[in-house]
Amino acid sequence: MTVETRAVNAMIARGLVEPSFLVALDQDRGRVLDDMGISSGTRQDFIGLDCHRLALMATFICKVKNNDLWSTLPLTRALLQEYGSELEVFGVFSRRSPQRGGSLHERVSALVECLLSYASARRGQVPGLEDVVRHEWLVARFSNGWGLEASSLDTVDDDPPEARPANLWRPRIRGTVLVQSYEHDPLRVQLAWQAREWTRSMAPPTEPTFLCYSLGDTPGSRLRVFRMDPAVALIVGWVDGQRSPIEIANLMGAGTDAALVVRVLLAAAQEGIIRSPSAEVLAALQRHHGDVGGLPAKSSKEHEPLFGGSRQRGPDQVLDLVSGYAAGRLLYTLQRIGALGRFGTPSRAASVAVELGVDRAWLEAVVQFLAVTGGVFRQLDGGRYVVELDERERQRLNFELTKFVGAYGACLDAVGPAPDVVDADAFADAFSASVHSRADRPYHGSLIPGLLREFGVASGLLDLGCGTGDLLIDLAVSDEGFHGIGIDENRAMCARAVAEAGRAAVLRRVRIFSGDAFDVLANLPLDAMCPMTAAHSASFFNALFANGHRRAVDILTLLSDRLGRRLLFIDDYYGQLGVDFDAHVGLTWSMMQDLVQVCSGQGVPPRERVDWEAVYQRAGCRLLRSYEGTLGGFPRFIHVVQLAAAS
Amino acid sequence: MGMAYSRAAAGLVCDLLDDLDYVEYPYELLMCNAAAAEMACNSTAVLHCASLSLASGDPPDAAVLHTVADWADRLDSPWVGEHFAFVAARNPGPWAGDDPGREDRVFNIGFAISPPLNADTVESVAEALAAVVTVVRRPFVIENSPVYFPMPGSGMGQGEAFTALTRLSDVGVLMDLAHLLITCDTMGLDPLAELRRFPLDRVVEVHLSGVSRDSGVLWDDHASAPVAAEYELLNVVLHDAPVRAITHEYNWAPRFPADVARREIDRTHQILGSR
Repeated sequence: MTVETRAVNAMIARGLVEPSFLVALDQDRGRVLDDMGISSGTRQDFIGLDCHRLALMATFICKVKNNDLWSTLPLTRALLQEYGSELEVFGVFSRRSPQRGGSLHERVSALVECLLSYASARRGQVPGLEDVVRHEWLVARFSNGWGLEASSLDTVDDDPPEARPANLWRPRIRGTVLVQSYEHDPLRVQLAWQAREWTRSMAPPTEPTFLCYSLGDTPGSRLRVFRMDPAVALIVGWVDGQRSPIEIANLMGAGTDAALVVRVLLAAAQEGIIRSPSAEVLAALQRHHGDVGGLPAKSSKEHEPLFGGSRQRGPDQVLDLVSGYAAGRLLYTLQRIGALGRFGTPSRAASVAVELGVDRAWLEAVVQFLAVTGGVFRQLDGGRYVVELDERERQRLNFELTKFVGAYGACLDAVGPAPDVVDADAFADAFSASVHSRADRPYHGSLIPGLLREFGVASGLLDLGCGTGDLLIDLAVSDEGFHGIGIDENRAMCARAVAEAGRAAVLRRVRIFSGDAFDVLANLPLDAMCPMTAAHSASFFNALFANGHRRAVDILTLLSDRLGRRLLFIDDYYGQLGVDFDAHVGLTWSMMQDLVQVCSGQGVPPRERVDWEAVYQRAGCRLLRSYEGTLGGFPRFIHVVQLAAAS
Repeated sequence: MGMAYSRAAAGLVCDLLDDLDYVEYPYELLMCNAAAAEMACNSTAVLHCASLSLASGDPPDAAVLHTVADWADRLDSPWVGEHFAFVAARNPGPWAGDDPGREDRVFNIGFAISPPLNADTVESVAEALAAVVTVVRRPFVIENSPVYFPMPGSGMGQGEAFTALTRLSDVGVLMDLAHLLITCDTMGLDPLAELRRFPLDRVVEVHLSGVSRDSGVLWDDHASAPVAAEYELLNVVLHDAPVRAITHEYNWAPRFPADVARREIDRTHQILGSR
């Protein structure tokens, strides 16, 4: 073979295995050809060489050499092929793939990392890609034992039964039950693919799906995947062998019904997802809670709320109504003067009256009335009374009374919307009264911090309607590099937020501003204070719907102008009261909230996701992902929204 | 009727074994996979290689040659397949970006690349084949590699190069119809006309597999079924060539559906039966 032909072979081979050489060949072709001694005849051919094609071929070779990796991710490959993106993925992978000879686990890990990065950078290009990758990777890790620490796999099952605290629930696996939330249901994709019914129509967003994964007790047993109601999945996800049902109920947030948690856990144990504490405890719980049935079905919106109370109708509805009104106001009064807490231990009304300096006859009558009409006070022997609530229930009572009676009570008395009579101090009290320790904070256990991490928001968060600053302060305490800005129009809330930030020694990193969100947003030099990466709002947007959607659209537009194309995490609820009100739904906590929203001039927020999406679209924003579930009697959601470009 | 074996296709091949006359095993896999080796030794096998780098200009590696010969004998393979390609190439001289003392490097692609198509390459491949058959005492069939970009230094087409090679060497041709479609797509040629430029009277084996288009390029795809054009070309090949074997290649798919593979085999049988 002539030197010339050898040189051609070598240059092509080198271009395929050395990207730097290919770049040099592309950008400084004449010099490289001179260096390689390519003569005039072949030189012309090289001048016309399409280096982009050569680069594509290098990518293709990388793809072919890594074909075996797809055995763990077959649906992912199918998706990429469907959208013509397989080669593009390997273009990224070829630059970062581990050395040949690495273990299958290392190579698949690298590919998954590359795929998730690709999916994140090109959201929407291959709909469902991220969810299918995450699902298949999880299944692969379970199936192969990849990334599951041996110690964590063994400790739970190796505990002798007598060593287990009697009231603790345990995962029925070698490790923790893993709960995943998906926007695109990977099982639906899988079924369609297996049935050869795959079309691109399978990919548009579906309802967020929660899937739980577990392995059987014995090594080699098969992976099980469970589809669950989001709320049930959240409950089961807390089971780690270290928590009691009460602790799990507390983690779920204020208003969670502990009895329901127990029922869900019992049903999950029957399904073999988790393991109940002991036969004795299980039997006692079943006796106490009766028929546990199966796990609640999907879509909690089609059922009675999983959490929260239901109205008990008495024989005389009018008497119920009047006495209920009186009881609510009286309880709030007792709470304000500290009497509710004082009756946490059995006491005579007369003694408490002396202690608190109030009229003895009044307090005796009020307490007796409340003991007769409600379930809060109970009369004991010797004229003593007690408030029989555990700490969590007491906190919730304080919160709801302060909010509905204290903050919004005057609005309920008014004719027509009366925003001016909302008691801002009481509102601030409500959110402070139920919080006593950092572990009780609303954001301890919330999805929001995890979501922020998932979307790469490490710092620079703007919190609209920050309230008492819980989220920002929690993030700042857990990460010394975090900076955030909070805005709330309630001055009392802001004052408490500043005070709490000071106590937590994060005041320099968490800046709180009081005022109307429109004014503050329009004038605050956001990025100059700390570079903003995203915005968050909890129960902020629901106050913007008194006169249609205009104010919500306006604030989204303003936000887009200030934070163009960045992400906005909206934590809010779907309203129920409205023109399409369904009387058969029954009273719920969200309906109570709707009522005070209307009476205080905030309006009822949109009822369905599509309605919220329409608001986003009117402002040029885009809903990227939606998480939904029922919590505290509210159909709540977290929407991840991409703001429009700055105008 | 045969099927190409791979780790991914092992289950598929086992499922279809009753429908197959032989299985085609990659030499490179037999060297490192005991399951493949055991199965190959217990079934009718054809040996296929991609390591000899016949078009690299260097003599084939002696150690590789002897193990290929050993496997060909152990499997009693009726012939051995190899590509008209190079897999590695030696650096001809220094380049400004090279570290001193590393000028004599070999760039190993690990993938068969169609070489510059010219008389020089054809002679070099013929010389390499002459050296190969002194060790591997089996007939050789040479496969057309896909051309993904106009290769500098080429003065002839692939069909012309194969015709020249068969004049210099007593080898058969392994006609990969998917590769032919890809080459024609890249070079803007008519597949039927290009096919007729090959020495069809020397075609012993045919490969069938899929192709897929990505980023504007038509690529080899052993994870999908053959396209209709391949069957049209197969009809022509069967008319003019003494074909002894047709190999379906679905060995890149983690789980290629057995019913689809069976359907393609049946379709091939129908074409054979209609002749």
